[in-house]
This record gives sequence, structure tokens and C-alpha cells, in this order.
Amino acid sequence: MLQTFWHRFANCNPFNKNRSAQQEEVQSPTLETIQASLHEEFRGMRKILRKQSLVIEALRTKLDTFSHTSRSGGSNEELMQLASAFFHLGQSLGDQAIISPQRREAVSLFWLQLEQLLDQENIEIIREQGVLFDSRLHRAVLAHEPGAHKSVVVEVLEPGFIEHGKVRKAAKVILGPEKDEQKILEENSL
Amino acid sequence: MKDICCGIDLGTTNSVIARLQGGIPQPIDIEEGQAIVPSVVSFDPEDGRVYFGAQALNRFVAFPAHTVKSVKRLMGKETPLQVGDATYLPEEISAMLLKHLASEASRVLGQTVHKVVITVPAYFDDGQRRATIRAGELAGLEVMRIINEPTAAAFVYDSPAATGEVKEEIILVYDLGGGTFDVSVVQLRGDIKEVLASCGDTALGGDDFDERLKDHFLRHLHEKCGIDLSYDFPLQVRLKDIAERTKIALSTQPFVAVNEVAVAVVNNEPVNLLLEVGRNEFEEMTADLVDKTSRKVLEALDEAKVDVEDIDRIVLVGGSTRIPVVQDMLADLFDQPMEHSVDPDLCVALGAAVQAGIITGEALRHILIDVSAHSLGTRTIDEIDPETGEADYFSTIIRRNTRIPVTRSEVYYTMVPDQKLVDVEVFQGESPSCRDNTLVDSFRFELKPAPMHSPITLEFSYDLQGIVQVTVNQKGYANTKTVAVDLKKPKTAGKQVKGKENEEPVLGDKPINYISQKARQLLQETRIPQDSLAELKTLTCQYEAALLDNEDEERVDELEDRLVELMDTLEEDRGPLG
Repeated sequence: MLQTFWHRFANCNPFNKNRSAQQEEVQSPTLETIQASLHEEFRGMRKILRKQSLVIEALRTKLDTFSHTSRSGGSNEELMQLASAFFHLGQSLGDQAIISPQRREAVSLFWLQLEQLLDQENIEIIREQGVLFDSRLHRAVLAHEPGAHKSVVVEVLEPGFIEHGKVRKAAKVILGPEKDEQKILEENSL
Repeated sequence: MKDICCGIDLGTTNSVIARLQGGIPQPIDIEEGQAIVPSVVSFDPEDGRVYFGAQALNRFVAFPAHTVKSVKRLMGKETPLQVGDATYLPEEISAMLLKHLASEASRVLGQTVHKVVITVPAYFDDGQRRATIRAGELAGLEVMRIINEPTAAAFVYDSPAATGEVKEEIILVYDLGGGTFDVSVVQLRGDIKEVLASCGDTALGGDDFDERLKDHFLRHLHEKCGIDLSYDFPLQVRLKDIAERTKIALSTQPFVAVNEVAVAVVNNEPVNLLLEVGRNEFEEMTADLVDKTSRKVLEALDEAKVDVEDIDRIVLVGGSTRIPVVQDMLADLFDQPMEHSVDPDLCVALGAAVQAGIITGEALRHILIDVSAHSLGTRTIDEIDPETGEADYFSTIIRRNTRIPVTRSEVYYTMVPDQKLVDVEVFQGESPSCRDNTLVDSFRFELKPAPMHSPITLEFSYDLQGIVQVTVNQKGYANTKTVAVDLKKPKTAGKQVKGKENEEPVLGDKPINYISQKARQLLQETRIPQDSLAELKTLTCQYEAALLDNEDEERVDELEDRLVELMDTLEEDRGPLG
């Protein structure tokens, strides 16, 4: 039993046929050597455990820093700000009494490119009018008929953003009753 | 599913649930990846669905009769709330919120959250506390303890179970949230804590600071286009957002350029908001708000019958404590370190999680957050050393205990017209006089000809490796210089002579890892013989220095082996740390 135990630690092959009985007798471990060997093995294992703990600690620190940085926002924040700025520019152009078809087309083209860029970063802008109020995507800042069962977004005051499937910021919207929807669509098509 | 115990900060505006993970408190991101959940509940009368958090808040304006906000203010009152056709007691609404937090946390963690510690304001009376316990029970939770919010905040920095120390101290907890302000004086004696005084203002918070900036923008637009736009509702909504963003940016930089496209349309033309806001300007606009809080601090001290000098530590809670002038005010009032490295929006919930861990007997670890060990700043001429006649004012840029990595900047002004250069000296220390602080590095920055009092911004960008990128910029002259300063290797000059080799080793301000942390705990033990303690201190210093200096792996390994062996021997002689 002891020999098997010893062999495990000494990495010897107990089935080595070439080893003579005398040799085995000479190499038979004493209780002290077993204890010393066990002690050494235990020390080694503790050291491995210690090193692993240090690696885990370092990784956790890095992860904390990473999550801290991601919480405080990175370059995507700037991209969202750019999209937001263009949204407001587009709105102000739309507010003007006369906007030429060419200008309207230019704005649409720019939106197309901007949305492609946002899509590459897995960001979706929430800016649609005429859609049903969705409390996940929209924050109502004014409601023409508070308490109306079905309200639609009649105006987007601040666009919202979805990043990697999570709502980073809900769009700030003005709500109207559902019957206004047709009116909005008509206005938009003008 | 395994059962765990969580801490819940059930706030007036927002709530957070947190738990211990590996002995360290962590917030649980339960809503769209966010840990901060608005304390709002909204009912859909058509389908009976109940909405919580951000979704409920989003519905508030659309369904005001079916949405409940700030229910915490009504806790303990017997008057039922009318919500649509139904009525609810305040504790029933709180119960719904608590149930939502616990069930969402269970879903995220894959473990049942059944036992909780809930925080309440220090001023809550017995009835309000009992109502909070009932809310927990109605939610099907086992409320293990109700603790005061300021106590929880103090726990997150220094819980006795984590440090192994039993010390007596008086802490001032300054809590400036979005809409409310509270200040408390708490006495900690080991596990026993007592709120000596608590006062505040339920109508003062970060939103008031935003409002001042918003008014400033409105005045600017009025001057620009000659029309009062305060009636323009969409503009108000937009300016509020811009104001909040500007306020946040002003916490890290001395100037913010506000360039906002088409904030309004006047006479069919877009009106852009283009202006620069200086931190000084913002501080002037909000001085009365900060003064109000300062008066409340003195009131709390008076009520607690303690002096300014009796306060051992200051703990900052609430997002608005990130505003530099708030920290400056407290630094002027107290000559004590400020605890602000843990996210001030989360620290009450994290402290509740620590308390939960203490109750359930979970092993606690001291939170190892990388913070600036000393305040960092530069020398200015605002004060003169009476002995030498030299400039001697230490102007702080990064405060002690600030979580790193961090970037902060300040603005300084030239002394004479066409000033040729400026000596940029980086000091670290806590004294208002540079003479008593340590000079870390210095360099010269050549200036382009400019009038007297021209602004120069100085930015410190402090990374996790202890390197500070010092950037000096002559504003408006495209003249910039950046120098990397290694805080581990300060360049000594004059009186600041580095310790000699045979001098007693001096430990750094914080442990490097859990091994050095354990060694430092052992160094506090009084039962260990002095000679062993001296050996332990030397070895700990050598080990930490080897790690900090990135010495070769073999050397670090050898020192680590020796240190661990010595700690094992000492612990065997003395018994393990309790």
C-alpha cells in the first residue's frame, strides 16, 4: 500500500519488471521521506493555488476596470451624439415651410449612411413617429390625452438608442391619440 | 436554485439590489444591463399588467393616474393611494418593487433571492421601519435586517468583518442625490453603529444644478435671437438633457464647449446653441445650493454634539457628489480623508450587501479598488512661503482616494503679459503647502505671446500603472505639451530626499494583492513578537516593491514564497486571523 502511495508521488512505474527486489528494498521509503515528500507536494499545490488566485484577482481587477469604462461610455457615445445632432438638424429642416425634394433626398441619403454606420456598431436609433407608444422604447414627456389606452408618437423630441439589444436611452416623445396617426403620416408624406 | 442573501437600497427615486460575490459586494444589473432601477410602478388598466423601473417611469406622463412615483415618502402612512380604480397602501407598492427587484435578480443570477437586508433613511421612525419590513414580507422575502442608509454607505468602505479591526470612529455621510439631500453623523464601534444626527432637504439635489445651467442656456438664447424661448416645451426638454451632460463634463474638465445643433426654430431658421461654459461660471451659478448643503452639515454636527475635528472620515453618497465644488466645500470644512472611490450611486446597496454577508457569515474581503493614494496637484503662486518668499500653494487636481484610471483638469492663468514660460511642477500630498508635499516631477512649458491672465489648462490622466500623463495646453494658441510622470519613481528635489537604504522600510498606501493585504493585517497583530513583525514588514515592502517595479518573475516568486512561509509560521504561532 505504502509503495503504491509512494510511487504515485515519485512518478515511478510500479510495473517495471527490470527492477530487482534488492533495489526496491533500498528505495523503500521511510515514514519521514513520505512525510517530507507529502509536505513538498502540499507546498507545491498551495503555490499553484496561490498563483491561480493571483491571476483571478488580476483578471477581476481588469474586468472591473473594463466594466467601469464601459459604464462611463466609450466611443459609441460620440456616435450616438452625432446621430442625435443630425436628427435635430433634420427636424429643423423639416420644420421649414418649403423644403425642396432635393434637400429631402439629401437628408434621407445621409440618414441611410448614418444608420448603416450605427448598424455596424450594433446600435439602433429610435426616432420613428406615428408608431404606437412602447414604454420600453419611448419616454412620454407630454401626452395630449393622458390615460388613452392606445397612444401614438406624434413627435420625437430626443431620439433614443438601443445598443447590443439593450435600451441605452429611451426616446423622449409627445403622445397623441391613435386617430392622429393618419394625420402624421399625411404630414410626413408632404 | 441556490438561495442567496442580497442587500437592497430601496430609494425614493431609484433602487439598487446587490449581493456578495467572492466576498466583494457587486450590484446586480437587472434592467437593460443597468443596476439602477427607477422606484416607479405603473399599472395597465386594460390588461392588468404591472410595469416597474424605467418602463414605469416612461409611462408616468402617459398614464399619471395609474403610475406611482416616490412612494417611499409615504411609507408608514395609513392613507391608501388611489391608483386608477384600485387603492393600495404605500407598503403594498413598495412590496411590488421589492418583489420585482428580488425576482429579476433571481432570474439574472440563476439563484433564488429570498433573504434580504433593506436600507432606510436614518430619519425613518419606528412606524416607517415597520412598514418597510411589512413591505418585504408582503413581497415574500425574509427581511433579515433593516439598516440605515448612511451606515450601509460607511460599511462598504470599512466593514469590521472585512478588516478584522474593531475601531471606534465618527463618520459624516454626505448624500446628495438627484432630488434629495441628506447628511448624517454616524458612530461606528465595531459592529455597533449609531446615527447621532441626520438632517437634509427633500427638495435639493442634482436636478437643481441642471436647472441652473438650463436657465443659463435660455438666457444665452434670449440674447442671441432676442426672443424669450422659455415657453418652447420641446426646447425645455432638450436643454435639460444638454444641461445634465454639461454638468457631468464639468466635473472632469474646466471648460465645456456646448455645440448643439438646431435647439429651436425661429422664423424658419434653426437656432444653434454655441457657447462655452467654465467650471467657475457653473460654480457661481450654483454657489447658493452648495452653501445650503454646507449649512445642513454644520446643523448635523451641532445636533450630534460633535465638532468638525471629531469627524474621522467623510463618505460621499449620491451622483451629485461628483461635482468638484461639493468636494472642495467638504475639504475646506474638514481636514479629513473623503471616501468616494466606490460609485456613489451604488454604495448604499453595496453596503447593504456587506451587511447581508455579515449576517449570513459569508467571508468578506476588503474591497481592493485602485485609488489615488495621495492628492495630486501643482504649485501656484496663490500663497507665498513666508520663509523663502517662493510660491507655495498646492492646487489639487486629483483628490486622494479618487478611483483610477481618472482624468481631471484645471485651469490656471499667466501672471504677466507675453509670459515666456511656466514651470509645471507635479506634487503629491495632502498639505495646502507644497513645501510639505512631495515633488514628483517638473518641466518647463514655453508659452506663445499672449495677454496677461491668459488661461492654461493642466490635465492629469492617471492610469492603473501609476503613470500620470500631464498635458499642459495654452488655450486658443494650439500649444500643447504632454509629459509622462511615473509616481513610483518620483524625481526628488531640494528637501524631498528619498529614504536611505538602511532606514526603516515604509509600506505604500495600499496593498498590491491579497497576499500583501493579508501580510498588512498580520502587521497589525499585537500578539506577534516585534522582531518577527520587523522581518514581516521588510519582506512585505520588498515584495510589494518588486511587484510595483515589475522585477523579474523569479525574484517576485522568491519573495512571495518567503513572505507566505513567514506568514504561515506566524499564524501557526498565533492562531488564524479572526
